[in-house]
Amino acid sequence: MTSTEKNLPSVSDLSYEDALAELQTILSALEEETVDVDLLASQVARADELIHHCRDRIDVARIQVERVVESFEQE
Amino acid sequence: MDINEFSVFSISELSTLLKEGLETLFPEQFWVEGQISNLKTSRPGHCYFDLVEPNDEPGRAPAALLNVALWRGKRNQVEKVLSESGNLTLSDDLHVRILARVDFYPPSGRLQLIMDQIDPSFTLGQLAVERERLLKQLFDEGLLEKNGLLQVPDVPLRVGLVTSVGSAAHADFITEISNSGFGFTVLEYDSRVQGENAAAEIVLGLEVLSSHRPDVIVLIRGGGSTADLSIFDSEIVARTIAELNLPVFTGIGHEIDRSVADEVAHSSFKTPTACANALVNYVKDFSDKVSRLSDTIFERAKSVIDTETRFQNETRSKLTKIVSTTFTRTENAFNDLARRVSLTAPKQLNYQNNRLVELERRLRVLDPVNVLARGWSITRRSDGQLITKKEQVKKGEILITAVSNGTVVSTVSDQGETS
Repeated sequence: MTSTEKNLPSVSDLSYEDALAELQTILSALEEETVDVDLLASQVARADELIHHCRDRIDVARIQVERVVESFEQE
Repeated sequence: MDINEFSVFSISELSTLLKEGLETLFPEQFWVEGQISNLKTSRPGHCYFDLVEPNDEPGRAPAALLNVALWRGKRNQVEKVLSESGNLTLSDDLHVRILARVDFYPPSGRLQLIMDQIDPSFTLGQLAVERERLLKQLFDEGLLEKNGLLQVPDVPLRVGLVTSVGSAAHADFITEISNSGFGFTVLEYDSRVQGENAAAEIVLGLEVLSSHRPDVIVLIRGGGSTADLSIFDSEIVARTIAELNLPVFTGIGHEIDRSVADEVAHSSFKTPTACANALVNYVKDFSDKVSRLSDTIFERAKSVIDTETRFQNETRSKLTKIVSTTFTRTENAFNDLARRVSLTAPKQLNYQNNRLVELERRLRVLDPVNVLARGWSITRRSDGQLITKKEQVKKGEILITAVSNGTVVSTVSDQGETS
């Protein structure tokens, strides 16, 4: 993971599914204690960033859904 | 030759002898037959004509000729007899048998017949015989039916008219045509229809009008005496009509007999008015036919339009129903989908959100910051190596320990026991 870390795509470019998949991978690694403590902070930071990204996507989707549902009701 | 052998007369002596000799030879009246020529009526009303025996060769001088005088008193009787017997009148070319006496008039040296009476049955018979001969000849030559086989145009509005313009016949014909209201065009040829050269004029009229290509040619005259109408029994008129390439209608005004012209014409009528009426009926029939066709076309067109309109209305009704049904069905489907979307999407978003909360919770547990806050620490050697086992340190070595709010530097005093 160390060798590829630098090549990771920017979180903002990831789709929700890809972001979620990466988050689960990081969490699994952290929970299995396979992550070197030196990388721990950066992995946690990446995971935090991924969580925020996913939450933003959910919020955006929620707003869009609410607008669409409103338009159904108006029709 | 002894000149004393022969008698010597003065003109008056000789004239008297001739007169007496003729009276001895023809003590009574006698019948004599011949053809009237050069008929003239004097101012006092006496009639004079030549009674001729035509030459067998046409165009040659008569074989014999005698002058005839008919005094005014006898003339009235003769004309009455002729009129009552067959609508005849004295006229040129008429074959007659007359009762006469021979008269020699010394002052003018003229030998003439003094006519007293006429035998009308002879004249009628001659006319009939001539007429029959001509009809047979025309029949034999195929001319009797020839003009009748021509087709009259459907709308014979262009009419060639041969008649005496200004006559009653002419007026009757024009009145009938004008009153029809149809747009007839009448090309008129003014021709004598009786008397000398009338036949030749009629023939010329027929031919001149023919050159203008009317739809039909009409030959009319009012009623008249049988002899007057003999023009229409003449061979030249009959042949011209038969040979014309246009239908000829006649209205010659015979009350009883048909003339040869009538026989060879396409159609013949008793009067000019009847003739005009026939033409009007041709046009009227066509007009009626067109009107009927027009009505039929209108009816059929209306029927087609009605059928089409009905079909379109039915189709429109069906279409409206189908569209309405389809629209309702689609709307229902859409509403169902919208309902499912409005229910499912937020549900899915909540699920994802919960999933994310759980992942975050798990992450927070693993965050070193939180681990250190709960009292755990991380110890490294001075070279930064992480200490995970006691064997990694020696007595007196300096260690750096990270806690939640900073680092603690310490020296190893004892490695302790292995657990």
